[in-house]
Amino acid sequence: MRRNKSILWLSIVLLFAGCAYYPVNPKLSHFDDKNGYRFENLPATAENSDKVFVVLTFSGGGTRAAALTYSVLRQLSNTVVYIDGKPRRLLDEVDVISSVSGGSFTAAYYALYGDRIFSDFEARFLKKDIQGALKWRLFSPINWVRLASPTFSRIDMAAEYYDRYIFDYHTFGDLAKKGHRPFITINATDMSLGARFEFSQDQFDWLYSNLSGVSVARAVAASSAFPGLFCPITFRNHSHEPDYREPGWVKPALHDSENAPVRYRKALDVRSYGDSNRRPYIHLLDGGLSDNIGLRGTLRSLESTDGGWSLTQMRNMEKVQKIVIVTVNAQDESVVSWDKQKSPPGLKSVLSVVAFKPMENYSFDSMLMLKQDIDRLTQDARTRKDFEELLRKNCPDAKLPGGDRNDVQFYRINVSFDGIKDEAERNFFKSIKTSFSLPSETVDRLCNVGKKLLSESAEFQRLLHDLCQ
Amino acid sequence: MEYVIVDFPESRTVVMDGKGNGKTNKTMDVEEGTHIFKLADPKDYKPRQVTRVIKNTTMVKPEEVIFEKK
Repeated sequence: MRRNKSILWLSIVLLFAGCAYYPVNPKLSHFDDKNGYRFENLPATAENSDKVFVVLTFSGGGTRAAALTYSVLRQLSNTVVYIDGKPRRLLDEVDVISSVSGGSFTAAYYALYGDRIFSDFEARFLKKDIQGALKWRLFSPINWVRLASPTFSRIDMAAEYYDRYIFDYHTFGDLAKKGHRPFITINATDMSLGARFEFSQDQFDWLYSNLSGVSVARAVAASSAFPGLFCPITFRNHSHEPDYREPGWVKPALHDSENAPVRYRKALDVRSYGDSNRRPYIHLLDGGLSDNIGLRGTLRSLESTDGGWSLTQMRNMEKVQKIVIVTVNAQDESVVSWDKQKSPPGLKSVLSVVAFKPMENYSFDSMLMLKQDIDRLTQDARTRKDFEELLRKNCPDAKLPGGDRNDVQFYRINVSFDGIKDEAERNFFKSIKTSFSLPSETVDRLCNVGKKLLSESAEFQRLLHDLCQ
Repeated sequence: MEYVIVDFPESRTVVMDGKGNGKTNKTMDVEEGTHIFKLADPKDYKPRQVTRVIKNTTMVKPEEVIFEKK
């Protein structure tokens, strides 16, 4: 009798386990590359012109990153500038926010709720023990059963929690309906390609999937699915129907393995999604693995016209006059002691270096590339001006090809703990662990330091000077 | 970064790789590599499209892509 009961219980458990399934991203009803959550569907308005184009990039780093990025938003909301003689909050001029992991919580919350973030984000997320709440869910017997399913894991459970308690079940369709900027790109990492995967309809076109039916919480969960702590989050790669059209740049880019290897590789990535027999599922991990400061998409947009939004295209169309790129980087720095020891560091220390150092180095390279790109564009514009000046003096009838160029000014503003002058204070912030649970006082300190770092930045001061004349 | 001028007798949007990406007779910044150039409607120009590998240009010596009125 007892054996029969056990078998019955086991059958029920297995039945429930078999039923637990992550929400599947819907297939497109038809292909339309003008619909959905895309930058081009959020046009410039009287309240947010293209003249001053502001991009924010938010790094990973758990609640530490979420609080630092939140404080930057708050400082931008308190900053008034003048555009066409009219006063505006600088926050209202933000056009794109590109985010990773912890920074994605702030980006998504602001995109969904706007200024409401300043009244309830601290209580709903920053000062809440999210990590503890996620752990508690592991003690629920119902969740044991659900987690026994091969198609439901801890990251799906985390996404459910974010959906219910932070993002109120909102989807990308809700963001698209808002119809105004900022456009947010939440970044994850495609586990097979090791490449950046962004939650935009442009990217979901390649999966023949409708991003409007995907919850914002699921994107944020994918962006913050750090390996080891969470399993990858899975999306369906639907088979393409005959009406699918691949982006116009892909075919020519496949000839560019020598001339433009980055472009070539991206084209191969796009084609890989087209083969849904070989890749019927796409598994995503933390965005930090491919770009821990959310800057790579912005770098591409400075160099290329291929993506869903392109600063190069906007410069060519003479839409922009000033480009402002604010990188908010909450990178920590653990204090190591192994160089004081005679014996070599243990496996735990080695694994920590293997997991985190490449990400830090990659972030450093991204920041360097941004500097180099902007320096080069600025220098090219200066060279042309010098040529024009020489021609005017020595050969007044001659003209350079291409007509007059619209000079674009760049502002590269970096908010990071490296900007803190006081060593003890800097070390305090750099030693805050990456977690989704921080003491309330630490969150307050992060909120204050972000404001201070932004307002004391020399580049930020130059921008304010130029926008307040 | 590479530089391209699309010549045409009038001002028109240049369509590069399927997207509007600048104006005729103005220098455009483009990524090094292979690109397909067309003009925005009306289709009163020839050739229908130009495919060109863009490399080794400078801001004072951009690549020239020429379209004529039909």
